[in-house]
Amino acid sequence: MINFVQKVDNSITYTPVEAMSSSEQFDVVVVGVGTAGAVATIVSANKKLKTLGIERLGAAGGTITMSGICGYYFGGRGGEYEKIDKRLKELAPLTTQRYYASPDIRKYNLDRIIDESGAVIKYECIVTGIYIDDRRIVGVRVLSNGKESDISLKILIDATGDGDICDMANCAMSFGGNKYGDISPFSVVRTVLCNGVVHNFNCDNGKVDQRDVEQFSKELLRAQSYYAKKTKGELPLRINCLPGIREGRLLYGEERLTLEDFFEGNLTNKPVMYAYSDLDKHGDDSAFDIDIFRRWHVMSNMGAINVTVPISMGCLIAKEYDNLIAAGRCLSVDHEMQFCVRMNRDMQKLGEVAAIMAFIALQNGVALKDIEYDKLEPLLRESGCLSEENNKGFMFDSWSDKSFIRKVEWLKDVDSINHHLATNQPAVAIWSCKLLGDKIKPALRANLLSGNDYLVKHSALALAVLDDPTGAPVLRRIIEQRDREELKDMRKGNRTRISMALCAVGMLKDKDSINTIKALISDPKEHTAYCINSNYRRGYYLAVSSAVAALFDIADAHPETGKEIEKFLEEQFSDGKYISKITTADSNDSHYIDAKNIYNNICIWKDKKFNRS
Amino acid sequence: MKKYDLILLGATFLSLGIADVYTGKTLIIDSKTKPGYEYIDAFHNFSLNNTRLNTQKGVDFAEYLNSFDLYSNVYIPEWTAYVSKWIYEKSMSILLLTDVLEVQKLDNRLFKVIIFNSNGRQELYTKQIVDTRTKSPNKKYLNALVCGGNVDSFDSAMSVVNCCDISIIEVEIPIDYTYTRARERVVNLWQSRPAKYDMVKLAAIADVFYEEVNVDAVEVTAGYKEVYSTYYSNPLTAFDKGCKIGGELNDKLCAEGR
Repeated sequence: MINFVQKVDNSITYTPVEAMSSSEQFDVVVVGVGTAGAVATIVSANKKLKTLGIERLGAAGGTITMSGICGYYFGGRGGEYEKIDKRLKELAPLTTQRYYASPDIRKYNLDRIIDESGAVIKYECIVTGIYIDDRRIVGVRVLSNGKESDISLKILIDATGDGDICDMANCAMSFGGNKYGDISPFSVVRTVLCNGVVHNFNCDNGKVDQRDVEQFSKELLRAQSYYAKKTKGELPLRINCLPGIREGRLLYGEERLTLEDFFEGNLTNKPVMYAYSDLDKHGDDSAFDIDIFRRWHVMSNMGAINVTVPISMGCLIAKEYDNLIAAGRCLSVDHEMQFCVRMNRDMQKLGEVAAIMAFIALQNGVALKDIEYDKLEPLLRESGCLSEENNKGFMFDSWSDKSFIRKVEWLKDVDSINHHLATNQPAVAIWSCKLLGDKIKPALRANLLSGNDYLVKHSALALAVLDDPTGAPVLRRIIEQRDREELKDMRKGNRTRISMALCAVGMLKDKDSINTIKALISDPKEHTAYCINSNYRRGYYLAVSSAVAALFDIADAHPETGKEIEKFLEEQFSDGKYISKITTADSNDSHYIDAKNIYNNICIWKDKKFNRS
Repeated sequence: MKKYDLILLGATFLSLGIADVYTGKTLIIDSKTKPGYEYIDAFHNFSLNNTRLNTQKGVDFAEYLNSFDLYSNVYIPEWTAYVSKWIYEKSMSILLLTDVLEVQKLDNRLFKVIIFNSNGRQELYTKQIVDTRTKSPNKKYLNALVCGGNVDSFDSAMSVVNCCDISIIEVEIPIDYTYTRARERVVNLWQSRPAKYDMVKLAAIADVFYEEVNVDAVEVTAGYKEVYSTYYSNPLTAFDKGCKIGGELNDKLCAEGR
C-alpha cells in the first residue's frame, strides 16, 4: 500500500493511494542542489544513473554560491569537488576575486558541469510531499511553475541542509543541543566592492529556530537591516539571498556520532570520509554547553585544536527507510559534533559519498544499510574522497601561519606533563591528563603543593577535568584573586584562567564556591578590569557566563541552594543592565544577543529545574 | 482558522506600499528571502527623473530613503538593507521562504490560500488577495554588475548603466530561457567582450530575472487581483501605486463597516 505523506500544519499526514501516477521517472532524485547536493547530482549522473536535482533557488551550490560563503575553512582535501574547483581556474579572468572565491563564477561552473553530466535540474522547484511504500520512498510531489506533479524514484538523497525530506518522511531527528536548546548562529553575507576587488563579508547575525517560519522571516529582516549603514571605501553589491545556516535538523540515522563517542574513541573503522576542522563553535557561550565540550573547550582551553572525525556510512542512512540518504549538514551527528562536521569541503565530500552509495545500492539491488563496505571503499579511495592523508588526528592548524602547523602529541609521562602545566600553554597537558585518567591524579595532587603558580593552578584545573575535587581550594583562590590571565595555547579563542576555574567549580558542584561566585557577579566594577575590543568585553563575558553556569551546576547538585541562587540571579540579571557591561553594540549585534541570552538561559534553567526536585 | 483581511502575494515594492497604507489585518507572503527583489536583486537600475509620487506615504518612503542618501544617488543594489530595516521597524507581517500552492474561492466570498513552507502545508483565509508578482512577462533580462571601468554596449541584446564604480549591464534573454541558459548567455557575452574591456570584470550576476510586463493589472475574480510591481518604471512608483491601492482597499473596508 502506497501512502502519500505530507506535512500539514507541522504534523505528518498519511493518505493511502492506489497507485502513484508519475510524469517522470528517475534512478536518483537529489533534493537540494546545494553544497552537498550539487556534487551528489554530478557524481550520480556521471555514474550513468538517471538523476534529477530539485532546487528551490535559481542556482546550484547552496551555501557556497547563494550564501556567498565560498572560501574554504579546513575540511578534507580530495574527491570530486576538487575536479569541479579545478575548472574554475579557466574562468579566473572573469572575476576580480580569487577564482575559487567568486560565487557567480562557481554558479556558472556548476551549471556547465551539471549539464555535461547529463543530470536534469529543476530550479525554483520544491518538494511538497512524498510517496512511501513500506520502507521505500517511491516518489515525490513537486511544485514547479505553479503546478504540482509527481516523480518516481529509486533512491532519494536529502541534501536540503535542514533535512526537510527526512523530516517529512517522519524520520527521527534532533534540533539544537545542550540543556538550553542552543543552535549555531546564522550569517547573512554581504558582497561589496572594495578597492576594485569583490569581497564577501559575514558575521554572526543571531540565532533562530528556522523551522519557525514566522520568527525566521523576522530574523532575516533584522539581520539584513544590520547592514543598513555605509562603510567608507565599500560599495555594496548584494546581500546574498541564502542565509548562511550553520545548523538545522540532524538525523538519527543507522548510526549516530556524538561528541561523547568521539572523545571516548567509539569511532568507526569503516570510514567513508574524514571530516577535519576545529570544533568551530561560534560564540563565546561554551560555559552553557554539555559537560564533555566544557571540559575540552573551556576547562582545557582546547578550542582551536583541529580534530579528525571518521564518518561511517550509517551516519548518512535514515534507519526508517531502505533508500533515503541524508547528505550534508543534516547527517546523523549530534549538535556538538556538528561544530566540526559542517565545513564546505566535507559537505561536498558527503555529497559524493551519497551518490556512490546510491550507485552501489542500485547496482547490487540492496537496501542502503546492506551496502558492503568492501564495495564502497575502493570507489571512494579511487576518487580521493576517502584518503588517509585526511586522517590527521589532532592538529594545531592555521590558514595564515604555517609555522603554527604541527601534530598534537599527547603527553604520557609526569615530567613532560608538569613541564607544560608550568607554562601559560597548558592545554595539551591538561587534556593529556584527561586521557591518562586516574593514574595521573597522584602526581597532580602533589603538584598542588609545589609552590609554582602555574603548576598549582593548572594542576587544579586538570584534576577538575578528571572530576577530582582536591584542587577546589586553588580554583576558588583563582576566582577570589581575579586571575584574569588569558592563556596562550591557541591561535584564537583562548580562555582566561578565571573563566576556566569558574567552569571547573561548577563541574565539581562545589558548594563552597557559591559566595565567591556571587561576589564576582555582583561586583559593580568587575567589568572595568577587562579591555573592550570592538565594543565587546570578551573577558568579562567569559567570566560572567561561566559564573552563571557554575551556579546552575551547584544548585542542581545541591537543591537546598536552589531558591537562594534563583533569587540572586534574578536580582542581578532581570533588568538587563548587565548587558551594557559586556557590550555597547546595538541589539542587532551578535555580542548583544549572546549577552542577552545569559538571562534567557537563566529563565530556561529556572523553568526546567532540570535535575532538581 | 488563520484569517486575514488582505493577503499580498509577493514581497514586492507594490505590496509594501499597499501594506503601509491598508489598515486591515495583512500578511505578505513570498518564496524569497528578501523584499523588493524584483528591482533590487534583479539589478534593475532606473532614473528618478520625472518621478511623481501621488500619495503622502509614497513621499514619506522616498524621504526615508533620502535620509540615507539612497534617493538622490540611486544605486539599486544598495537598497536591500534599508528596505528590510523599514519593514522590520514597522513590524509588518511577512512570511518569507513560503510558496503559494493554490488559491481557492469559497462560497462565502472568502478565499482559501494554501501555502507551503518548513511547517508544511497550511491554509489561510482572506476576503482580499492582491498578487503583485510578475506573470507572463513580455521581456526578460538577466543583469550583472561589472567593475573596473565604464563600458558601452557591444551587443544588441545588451544595455549599460554606468554608476559609481560599477556598471550595470542588462542582457535581454529569451522568455523561455532557464537560469542556466541565461547565466551562460551573460558569461559568454562577457567572455567575448572587446579587448579594451579586458580589465573590466564580472562583480555579480543577478539572482533573479528582471521581468517587464506591459499590463498593469488583471482582475482574476472579485476580491482577487493581480497588480504587477514591475509594470512601473521604478520601485518608488510601484510603491506609490501600492499606497493608492491600499487607500482604495481601506475605503472598501470602511464601506463594510469595519
